[in-house]
Amino acid sequence: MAKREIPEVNAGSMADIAFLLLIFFLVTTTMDKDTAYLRTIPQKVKVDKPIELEKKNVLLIKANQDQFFIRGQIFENPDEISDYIIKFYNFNRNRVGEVYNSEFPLYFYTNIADAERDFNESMEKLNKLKNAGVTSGPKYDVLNDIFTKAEKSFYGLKLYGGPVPTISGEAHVRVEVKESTPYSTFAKIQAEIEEALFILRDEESKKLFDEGYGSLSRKAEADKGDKELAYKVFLLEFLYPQRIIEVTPKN
Amino acid sequence: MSKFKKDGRGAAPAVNTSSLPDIVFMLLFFFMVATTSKEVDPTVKVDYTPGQKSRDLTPYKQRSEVDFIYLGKPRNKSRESMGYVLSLDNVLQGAKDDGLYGVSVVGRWKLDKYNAKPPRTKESAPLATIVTCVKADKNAPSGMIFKIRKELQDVQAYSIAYAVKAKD
Repeated sequence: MAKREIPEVNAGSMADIAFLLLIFFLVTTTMDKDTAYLRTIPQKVKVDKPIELEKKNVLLIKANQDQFFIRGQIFENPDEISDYIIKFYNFNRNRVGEVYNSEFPLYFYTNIADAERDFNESMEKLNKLKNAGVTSGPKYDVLNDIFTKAEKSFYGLKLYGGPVPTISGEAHVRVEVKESTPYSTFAKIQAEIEEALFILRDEESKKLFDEGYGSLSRKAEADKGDKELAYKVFLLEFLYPQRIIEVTPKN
Repeated sequence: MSKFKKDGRGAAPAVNTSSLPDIVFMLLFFFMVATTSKEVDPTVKVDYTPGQKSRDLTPYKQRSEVDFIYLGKPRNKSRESMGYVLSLDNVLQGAKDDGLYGVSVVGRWKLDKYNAKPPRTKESAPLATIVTCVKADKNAPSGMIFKIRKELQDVQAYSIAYAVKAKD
């Protein structure tokens, strides 16, 4: 039998098919990204009496319809809230051991030796468990978690090269709005806090690592396995922790 | 006698279109990579408020670790009297808190959504880490945000995100 030639498939309509797909994707997708401020909701705890906080450790930002109040004072320009937050974080930072300003949170030094001790202890405990043949289960998970945290903390703080200035553990930003406060006002406060923290961390990041905080954290996010990056981000977040309390409005 | 043929009425040669599919496919792939799928147009109108230094939620979307709650006025004119209402998965929730509708449904909605996930996904992303993004209209009352927050706290979904339109 003679070899029959396979007829060529007509590809003339390929372009039409591709156009159809293209138009489908153009219609059903969007270019704009969803952007937001991520926050963690605290767990519910029962307390009989609220803990007394020192005034200097609380940065109270209040808002009603369109007015902002910082520590009871009316604040005319909402764009300057971030400047005040920066001042709140930085005021006593370079005055460790000097006369403190009593309006802003105190600073102390964290010793690396402590972090190292915690790290070694947690490693020992974990190894003991591993040697006993336990490599899973709730007990292992807990110890492993403690170890990972201690490791991050030790290597992160080590990057600073010297005692690490640490803001008082009580220091936080407190956001209080009314029930009727428009969302834009509430979001403005969040935006200002975010901006202030970014500026502070960015400055520190450039000083310590010659790299902006934005690119550093983006890289760390993209490559979760890179421990060096994770340590750097940890240190910056340790130096300028994001502590926000959002107070539920009362009627 | 000329050397060249003067064939005035000759048809123009056809343009070779065999590479057209390639070009179109290239465009297609560009759009497939550069865009993200659109959410269904919500039943409420949301006018975003601008904000700087916000977080891009795309990575969370790709891992489907984010649920969206829309808060705005209904697009349907006849329902405008309802004021600011929630839209969960494109279903309008009444503004009144009568136990059936309104904000009180958020907790159950979040749990249902989580329970419907396959077990392996649940293991890698526990409920506390799945972000709930609140997309609120700029004039929506903050009180409703806090009610949503309380609902999420009750079901132990501890990650919340306040949506803004990125300024930079």
